[in-house]
Amino acid sequence: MTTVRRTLSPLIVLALAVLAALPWGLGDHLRMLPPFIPALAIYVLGTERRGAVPEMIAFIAGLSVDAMTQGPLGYWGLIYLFASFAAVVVPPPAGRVLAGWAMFVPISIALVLTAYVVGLVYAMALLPLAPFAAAVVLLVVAYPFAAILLAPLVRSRASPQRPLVRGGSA
Amino acid sequence: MAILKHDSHDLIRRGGRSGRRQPLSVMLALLAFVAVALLMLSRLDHTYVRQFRSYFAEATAPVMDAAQDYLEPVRRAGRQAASYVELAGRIEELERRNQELESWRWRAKELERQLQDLSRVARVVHEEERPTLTARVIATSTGAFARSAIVNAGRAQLVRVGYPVVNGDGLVGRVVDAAERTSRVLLVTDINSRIPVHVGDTSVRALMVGDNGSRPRLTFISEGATIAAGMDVFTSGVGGLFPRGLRIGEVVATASGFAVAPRAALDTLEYLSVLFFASPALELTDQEGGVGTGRRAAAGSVGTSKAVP
Repeated sequence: MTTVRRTLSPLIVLALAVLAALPWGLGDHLRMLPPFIPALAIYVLGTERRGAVPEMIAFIAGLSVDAMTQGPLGYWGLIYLFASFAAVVVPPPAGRVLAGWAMFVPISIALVLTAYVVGLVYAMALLPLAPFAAAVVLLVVAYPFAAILLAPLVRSRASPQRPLVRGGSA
Repeated sequence: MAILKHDSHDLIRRGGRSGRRQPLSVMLALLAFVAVALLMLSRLDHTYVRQFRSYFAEATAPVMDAAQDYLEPVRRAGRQAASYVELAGRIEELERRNQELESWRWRAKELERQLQDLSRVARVVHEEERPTLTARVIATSTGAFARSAIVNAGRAQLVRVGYPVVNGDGLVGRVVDAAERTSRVLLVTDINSRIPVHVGDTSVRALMVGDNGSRPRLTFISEGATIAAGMDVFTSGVGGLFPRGLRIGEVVATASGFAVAPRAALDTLEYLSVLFFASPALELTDQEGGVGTGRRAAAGSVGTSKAVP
């Protein structure tokens, strides 16, 4: 991996973390979407190339979002680590956006559900479901765009994400 | 590489997926542990957590400010697109309100003239003009836990914890943290917001309680009082944190009782005015600010209206 590729992915995630805290003027139902965008980027970049976004960067990005949005410290850090973990454990089939999209649906539900449950435990009160539900829908919609825009930035012909296997297709 | 060199049958290629599960990284587990520990500290509202947030907001303020400048065209385009959608409905609504306001303007002029006459007769002491400071919102809480905004004015601009914050539409919240160049404004919809209010022309007393939703609830309504949807809600001044008469919104009926629909669009805040309201309660809310700060502000060193560049 070239130095540019190595530094580009963390920079993208950190930039998205800053953007997530800006006042976008979104309505009440959409307010959970901006902080989930870096999580989407972490997942997409991480599935394309393992280690593209180191865990430490994901955590720092989450901590930045927490601090900038005045939320509880560690909340988005934990969610971004989950996204990073999901990228390693359940990577989509290499090079197939549609199959990856289908696979991302349960992952996005799991991601948002984790955020909801952690929030529930933290606040010890029921949180409004609508913003979380809207976040799932919009994450799923945003996935192909993220995959098409972000993946080529870290993709290489001989990707370690596509390991050597006996009898694999070219 | 040795295997590849002797693989004349091309049995090994790149592609497919590994059947072996990737081991859980030690770093990942360690960071997850740190995140949970930080969450617990946040839950306890530890001083270090508050200080970290404050320092971080201070340090990132220039970045956020610059980012907003660059992204302003994008945001403006988004707002315009949204406003075009609801333009027809808004024109109709504005025409109706304009007619209504025309009749009110005539009545207000008449009342103003009567008030001046009565004040002259009763020798009423006029309320002193309250200085304000206009600041830009550089970040907002987007999560599920808090409703707050960070503005680019702090103690350097004489902002103190406890000052009310308004915009053109009405009360927005109050300052709860003030760093050197940034402050955190707790919005009226935050779960920790409690504001004593008056409702309607008869000034029925109630408490407006935030619940992190878009409409704070009305509780502790005076016994026997009648409240109806559409009544105006404004600050009562009880407790001394807010001046009396700051407009907040209007009453709406909900399944569980009454709530307040704030006039200010709290999701699209851009510029806010901090009111330098030097109340006795300020010494309780802001012990770091020094006794003289509020008085200096009130004395006019800030000016009646000033904007932070």
